[in-house]
Amino acid sequence: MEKLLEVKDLTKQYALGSLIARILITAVDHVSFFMNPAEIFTLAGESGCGKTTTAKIVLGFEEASSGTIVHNGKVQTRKEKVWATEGVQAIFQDPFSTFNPLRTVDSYFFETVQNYRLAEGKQAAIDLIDRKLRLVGLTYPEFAGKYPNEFSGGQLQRISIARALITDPKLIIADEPVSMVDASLRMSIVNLFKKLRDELGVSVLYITHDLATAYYVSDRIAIMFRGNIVEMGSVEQVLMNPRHPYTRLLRDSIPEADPRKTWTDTVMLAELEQEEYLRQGCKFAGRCALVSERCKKEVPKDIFVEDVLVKCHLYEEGKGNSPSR
Amino acid sequence: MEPKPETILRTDQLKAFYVLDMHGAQKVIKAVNEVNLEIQENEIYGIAGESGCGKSTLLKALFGAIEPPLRLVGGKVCYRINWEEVEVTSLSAEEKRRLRLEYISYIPQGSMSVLNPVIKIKESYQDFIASHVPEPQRKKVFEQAQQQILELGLPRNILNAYPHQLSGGMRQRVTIALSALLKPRIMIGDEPTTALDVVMQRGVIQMLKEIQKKLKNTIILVTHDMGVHANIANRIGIMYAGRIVEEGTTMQIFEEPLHPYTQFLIHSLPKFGDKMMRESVPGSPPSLADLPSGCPFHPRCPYTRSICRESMPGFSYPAEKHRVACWLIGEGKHGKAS
Amino acid sequence: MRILRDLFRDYRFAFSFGVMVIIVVMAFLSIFSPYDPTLWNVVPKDMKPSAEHWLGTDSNGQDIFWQATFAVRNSLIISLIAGIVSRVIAILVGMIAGYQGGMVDRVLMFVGDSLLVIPLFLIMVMLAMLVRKYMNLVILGLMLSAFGWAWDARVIRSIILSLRERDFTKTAILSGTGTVKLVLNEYMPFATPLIFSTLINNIAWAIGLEITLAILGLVNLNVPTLGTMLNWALFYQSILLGRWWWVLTPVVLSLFLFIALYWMSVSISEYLDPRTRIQRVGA
Repeated sequence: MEKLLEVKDLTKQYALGSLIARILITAVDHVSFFMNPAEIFTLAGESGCGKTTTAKIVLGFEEASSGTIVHNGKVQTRKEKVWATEGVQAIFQDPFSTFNPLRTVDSYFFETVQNYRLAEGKQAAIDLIDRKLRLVGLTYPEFAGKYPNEFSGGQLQRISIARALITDPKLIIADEPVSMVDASLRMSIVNLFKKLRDELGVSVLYITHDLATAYYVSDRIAIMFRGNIVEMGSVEQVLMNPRHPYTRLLRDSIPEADPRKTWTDTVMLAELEQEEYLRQGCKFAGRCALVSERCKKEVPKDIFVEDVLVKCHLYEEGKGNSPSR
Repeated sequence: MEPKPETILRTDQLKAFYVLDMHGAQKVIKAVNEVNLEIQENEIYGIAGESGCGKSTLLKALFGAIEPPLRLVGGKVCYRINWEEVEVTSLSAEEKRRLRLEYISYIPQGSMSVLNPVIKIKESYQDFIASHVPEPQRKKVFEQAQQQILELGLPRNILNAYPHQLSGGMRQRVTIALSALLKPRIMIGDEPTTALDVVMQRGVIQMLKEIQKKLKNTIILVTHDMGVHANIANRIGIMYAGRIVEEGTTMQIFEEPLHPYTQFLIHSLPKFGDKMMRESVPGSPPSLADLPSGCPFHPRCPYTRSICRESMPGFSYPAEKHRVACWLIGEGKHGKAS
Repeated sequence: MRILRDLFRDYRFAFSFGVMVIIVVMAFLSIFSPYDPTLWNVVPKDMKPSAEHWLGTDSNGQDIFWQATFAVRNSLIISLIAGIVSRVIAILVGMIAGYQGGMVDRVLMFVGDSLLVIPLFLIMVMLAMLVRKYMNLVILGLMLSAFGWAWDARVIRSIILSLRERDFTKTAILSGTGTVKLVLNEYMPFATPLIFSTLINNIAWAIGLEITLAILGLVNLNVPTLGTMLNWALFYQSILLGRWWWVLTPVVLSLFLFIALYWMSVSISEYLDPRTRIQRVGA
């Protein structure tokens, strides 16, 4: 079966600084992963780990420094309009910035219908839009003619999803779709993703730093740190039994809505971010509780442990099981 | 009722509305509607609620920053300074300014923009110190600041950096450290962890707890994220449509949420390790300019009765420190409103 | 229209609207003038305002009132041409430079910056002297417009640059919108208040510059404009000789025109400011 999306060895570098003191930041460092049809795949990590940059490259908004992206078996050329040709759409973090505040929201819908020639005549367009709106729990009458600031954040984000669905995409890239939505409303958006996967066979590339919703909704997950994928596999394996020390840190940092489960030890945070990007060995060595001398000098390889990919020296062949937690 | 001796900030039937006049038409936004709070010394008080419920406005009012188009329509805000009650709402601008940073400090949402981007952090610190501390003590206070930075786990060389060289979470923590510099008795934070990823969030929350433990002061924290409240707050007030609808200790709120809205808030959060289907709070919060009659939650409440549509319920006190405003709970032991 | 009604609530707009109505009516009245403005000695000279000659007569033997109608008409024509043409150029240049970026942007901004840096007045004087024989309203208008676009093009460009990074640009692209339509639909509304207020400012600037050139005698003095009227009045020492009706007519008209234009631009741009607009929207 053809994979929906394949990302192979993707790298993106930025040059920072002036003529005199230039540093090269590798925002995305030889990232590889794939996605199947009707699957929710999460790219998770802190801010600055490269997940958003990866999404932009897959979407065609930015150009990679090297690597290939394959949509449905077709290799994507640089900055190709994949949303037009390959059935890819996207939704963004801030619903109020996704729509121009000076335009009515429905104008975007009509525009999409017109540009992609999806319906004949205004009534047919309205019917199509209404159908898509119902998928996200809204109806046309309560939506027509309104400006973005007349909706709440949660509603607007659902409208954004509806807009993405107009062209019947096979892949939706969701860049931190719930970060700016109230915690109590996140479920409604994330449940929508499940519905899209189960009823319409749409795949979602879910980009987030919120592992709680990631666990709730994804099938597979990849944890990113400073441009590398450090752990990847099924969400049960990766989040319930995290192997990489960074994954453990992330999981432990989720604030549980349970006053009995408060954090016990203090977390060590990165000093100046840039340093971590430029480390010689494993990039996490500066913060890792289990760091060894080797970690500081040698970049760990990608190792498979029971179907999970882990990028850590602790799991070398022959080194046996992971150290006890 | 006499305020309890440990109360350090209290509001009395506080009403603050935004009155907007747009080309002739007037719009009144009832952001804070008859709010009564009694916040103690040495506690972390959390205010929870969805966006648009008026919590940011409540914070502004608590801080004394009521400026047009926000108007104080009724009630008052009182601080207890040196065993005396001072009504903040009647102070002059200069008097309020003197209170700030020394007695009460405010961490705004989006702290990223609080630090002056063209000067080093060190100079921002010096500016703050200069505006609140008379000349002879400035050097000493600056040295204390350097000490404080180390104690709070921030890197030593942060003072020599420019704000843009730091990550968002780091800037947030610097801003919080700055606001705690002069050891204020009350610190108010408006969504200090929003827009930060989980690890930074944890760092910020830990820092706040450290500061509170050291200074033994009061922190009032506003956020919609119940997970954050669970980790840091001693008491929580649930806010809806400009009113406090339930208030209790953190345990009480999470173990025995009585108001249907509180129940929704808690059940809508994903529990890690639990893939069971969860639902968000249905519907959306009412516009504060166009509130429903009676109890503002009734359009979304699954247990609405006719009395809910007609009048606003008063507070019942089902347990010590636990109060809730809901007709379901009935006019309990102390039936009087608020 | 609801917009006009909202605008009228602002006293500044109401005043300037009234003044502009009077001015435009005056310009229109020039069609009915009983006297040919280019002729001399049509009426007795230097007469004070009377029932027959509402604003008196000047030393050239012309009725001042009817001269003024022509003056107002011509000044308006010049400045409208200058304002509109320079807006169009500014919008095109600003939008293209802002959205395309790269070499196109650099070339366009180079041209614009050069125009900003060159001492405008000297160039105008030189050009005016060269073109004087062929000078007519349209040519003068175009000359003025050539110097009026550079600043606003840069401002429009910076608006575009910031809007380009906003998410709704991506939404529009994902909706399949082409570049031109995107720039027009998404970005123009943000630039509109700027364009309007600078249009009106530009018109005022053009009138002022025309008056300056006219006083210096660098335009065709036979064509009545506010500036040429002033030039003739000064030439004949009307201040010294106490013929206030002649000198004051163009001065007062220009004054009212400037105030009206300024207030109109301020009130319109406040009304159209995206921030207040967003507040109004959906209210």
